[in-house]
Amino acid sequence: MGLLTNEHSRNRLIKLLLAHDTKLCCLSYIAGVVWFLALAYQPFNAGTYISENALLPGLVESELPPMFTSAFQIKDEIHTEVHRDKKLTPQAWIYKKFTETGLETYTHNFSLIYPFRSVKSQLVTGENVYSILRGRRAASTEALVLSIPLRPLMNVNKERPATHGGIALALALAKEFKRKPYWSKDIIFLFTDFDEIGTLAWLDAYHQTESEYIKANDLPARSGPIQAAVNLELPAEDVSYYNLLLEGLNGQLPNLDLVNLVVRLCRREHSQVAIHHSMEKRRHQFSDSKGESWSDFKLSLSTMLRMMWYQASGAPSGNHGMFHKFHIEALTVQGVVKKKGSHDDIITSARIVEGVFRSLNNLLERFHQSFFFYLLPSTNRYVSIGMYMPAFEAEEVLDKVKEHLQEAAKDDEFEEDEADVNNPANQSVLSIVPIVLVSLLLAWMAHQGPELLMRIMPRFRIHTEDMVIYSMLAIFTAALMYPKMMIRKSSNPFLVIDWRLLKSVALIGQTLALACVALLNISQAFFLAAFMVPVTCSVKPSKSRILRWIQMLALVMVSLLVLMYFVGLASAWPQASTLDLLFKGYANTKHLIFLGLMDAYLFNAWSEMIGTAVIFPLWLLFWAVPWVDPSL
Amino acid sequence: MASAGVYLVGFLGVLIRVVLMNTNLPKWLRSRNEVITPITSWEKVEEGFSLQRQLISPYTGDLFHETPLALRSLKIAHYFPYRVSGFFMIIDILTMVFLFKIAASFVKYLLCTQEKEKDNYSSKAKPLILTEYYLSWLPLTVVGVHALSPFSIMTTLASSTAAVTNLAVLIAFYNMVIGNRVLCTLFLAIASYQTLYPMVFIVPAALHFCKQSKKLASVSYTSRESIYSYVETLSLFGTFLGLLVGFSFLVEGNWNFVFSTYGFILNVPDLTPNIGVFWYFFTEMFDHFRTLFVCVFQLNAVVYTLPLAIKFSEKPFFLLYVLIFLTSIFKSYPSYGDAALYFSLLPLWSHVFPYMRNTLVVCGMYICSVVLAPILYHLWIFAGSANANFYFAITLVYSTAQIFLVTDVIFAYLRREYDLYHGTEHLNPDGTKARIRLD
Repeated sequence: MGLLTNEHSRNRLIKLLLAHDTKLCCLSYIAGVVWFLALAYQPFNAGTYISENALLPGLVESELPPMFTSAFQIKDEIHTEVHRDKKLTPQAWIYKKFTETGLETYTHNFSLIYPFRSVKSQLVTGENVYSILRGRRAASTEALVLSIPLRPLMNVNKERPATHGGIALALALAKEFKRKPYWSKDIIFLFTDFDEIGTLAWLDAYHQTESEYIKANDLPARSGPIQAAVNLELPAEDVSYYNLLLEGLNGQLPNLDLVNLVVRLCRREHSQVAIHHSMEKRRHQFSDSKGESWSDFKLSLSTMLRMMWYQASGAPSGNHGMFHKFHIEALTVQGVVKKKGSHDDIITSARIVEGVFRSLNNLLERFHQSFFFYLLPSTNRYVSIGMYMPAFEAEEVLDKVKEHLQEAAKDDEFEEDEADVNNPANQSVLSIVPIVLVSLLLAWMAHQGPELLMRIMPRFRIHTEDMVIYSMLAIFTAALMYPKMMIRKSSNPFLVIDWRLLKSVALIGQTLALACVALLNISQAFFLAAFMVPVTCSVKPSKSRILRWIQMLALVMVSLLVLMYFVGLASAWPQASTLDLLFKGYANTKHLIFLGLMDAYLFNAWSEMIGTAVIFPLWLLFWAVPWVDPSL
Repeated sequence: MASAGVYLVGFLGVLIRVVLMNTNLPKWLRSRNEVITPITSWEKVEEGFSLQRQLISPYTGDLFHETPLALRSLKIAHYFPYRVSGFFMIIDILTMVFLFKIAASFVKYLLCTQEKEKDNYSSKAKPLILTEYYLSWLPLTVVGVHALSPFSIMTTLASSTAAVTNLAVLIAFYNMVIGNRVLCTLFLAIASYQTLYPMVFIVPAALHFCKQSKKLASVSYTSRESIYSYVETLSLFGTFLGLLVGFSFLVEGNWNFVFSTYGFILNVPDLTPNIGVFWYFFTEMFDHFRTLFVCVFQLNAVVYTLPLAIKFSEKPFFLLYVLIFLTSIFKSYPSYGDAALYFSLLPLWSHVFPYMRNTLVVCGMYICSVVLAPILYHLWIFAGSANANFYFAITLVYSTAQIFLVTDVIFAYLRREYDLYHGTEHLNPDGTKARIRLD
């Protein structure tokens, strides 16, 4: 309370801050960014460990038959099955096989209502298959899920590889698991159609919730609350390494214990495991080298940034993302095929999955021990929330310092003790109200724009993706001009815009918005802050026309659409010519924005809302600042 | 000008509420534990109605915590146009009307007391003297704050029964300003009958009516006549409260309701997270300490009455305001409805605002806690990635912000009083500027 009640010491502090304001701001920003990136350096982060004692991954001895011939047989069968028709997925075959094994097997139908009206048939239907292995030692009060996406051969690509190895593995494991007496949780084998959509439909039906665009039929049978889920994407060939995908919907991550468990069991089988395809050198995995060299740092930094890049999008990186929505810990294990190097056959994969499920079977409570907020610079190192939050705060702190200074500078203008109560000095507050209202209105339009357009869409014959980006561009261009109208009108001396107040309000809003986003999705907040904060903190009205133009240009560069374009460029990076790059970048941006919108409609992802309804209006407030006449 | 503004701002407030009522917001707010507590939830009232229809006493279970008379009188909500939301709109409009009346008569009161005390003021305190022009804006500000404050908007949208209690307190406040002892004590009794804590407001009321009966500038608060006046106010209040409770017994037929209402407030059995200080503490508590700490916490809510009554015996309205503020911080089930009440009344003291020193910090804390509370709740309950400590941290920030604000208002009030009697310029004996310290 000393600082709050003692005016003298407080004034001294404010004077000190005022004297070094620019220096402090730059320093804290640079310190924040450097600190954050330095967290990838091995001496600054910590080694992972399994915090939940009940998992006991070291005690799971594989009980699979050493040759496991049935797995190979099934793999051959499914190979002939899927090559019969490349457009179809083998639901019927899976249903038959699982029923033959003697497990309860059911199909589950769902339909997707396409949110945009431009497509002729708005209804897409799909079918999931699932099978429940009832644990012998429990009354179906808890369940684990092994989920495998079904993909027709013709739709397989690099990002969505074929999963037939996974189907064969699930079937072979189901046969083995059925013989074991020790299951204390039910195991659900889930085969989903249309990736995330099918998964969400099944989960919605399982928990009896409803979503707007995905209509799911009721499930004929259920088990208990799902404790954990593993999404398996194994190709039919032998794999060179296993790739883990963690990022769920809205940047949620699974409990670190689950990640550690999978990594540990892969290591036990001497298989390579990676996060986002970033391979670590083998010697690091087994010897505890310090990892202090420059090349090690570069590797772990790129791994961490790749993870942050995916997390920042707020879109799930695999089917597991939908489980997070229901408070279920889940991750995706992808088998990646490469021509060179050593290979693991299906038996290794089977041992890993068996180990994971037997460890999970040991769980006594929900996952709660380890971290939920973390970043991974490699598979066996982690950065916890306690480490990255201070760095992020340092990056943001200049925001706060700046806004305090803005207020302090105003306070200094009139003497504190001579308080003239008869003058209602709130004119300046009223003067910025129209600006705030207009930016909120524009934000509402940007947020609702696609929805409004959807209603008038069929009249135009334009591609949906184009429609969305044109509407965004239209609102953005309109928004660019709004300060001109607002500020010209205010020739009335009572309505002169107090740019300091406007900027303070905008800075307070930005700090708060970034803090909120940081809690939900640290990576998104980090990238936003890293680009926006230096520009938004330094804008101010200027007499020189060149300075003003530079500021406006900088502001446009950090506006959301332009940032999205940079993302599009980055994802299209190696191209033959610059022109190609620009066009491909534009196409990618268009696609990304469209995907973001679809995620918002189908899965209730928040990225689109944060962008249009939170960041956009704040940016508009800053945009008005350089337009104000500095002499007032 | 000002009166037209009042209508305009009031209309704007009603418009905002009507527009928002047609969105998904009310449904969401009704599930927010910052806005709704077990004793103010409309859903629980509906439960009570339906239990009563089944001829089961609503007080046999642990669902219903409204008083018996409230249970019977709130039924009229179903006969309003637009049913429950219409009822709460009408309550809100009535609140605005009474806020306007309070502000208008409070202006007269302020000018009147200033006129009486003017002779004792320092000659250098001229800039501090309130003018009629400045005060003419007061009703507009008070109504405007209520109409646009997010706290009162949320309370109305969520149909929290805190709005009804707030209205009773405001009517009592109004009758205190205009000097109607009977109605003032009646409405204080109604408010206390509903939520118990307004009982302490009888202290400022007694002080005020004692002072009023003397019609003199200086009165002794311990003289025989003063004590007689206190007893009169207290016995009026006691009679009304007794009648209300007795009547409840008559309609209910037994005393079960006492345990479900007052027992529920005093004993804090429901530890659903809210923005107060009770829930987290008592989830951690061993059972054998519970009684002791319940007593300590409940005493904490009301114990400030005595020292403040001694300090502010000359200023009963400020005392009443501070007590409204303090009970809404420390009561067992606080919600934004309580904040709505003290924020609406805050502009009555706008003449001390220039002396406040932590406005920016306090505003920042309020905004942060209101925005972050639902996010942290989501992370704790739905996403499962955070835990109870996250939410508790933000409720602590909220409580701290309230405490900062109330201490700041008290400080500013005292500081202004000091300046009134000693002039605005304070010089040391050697002619340098002196600093005033609050000790």
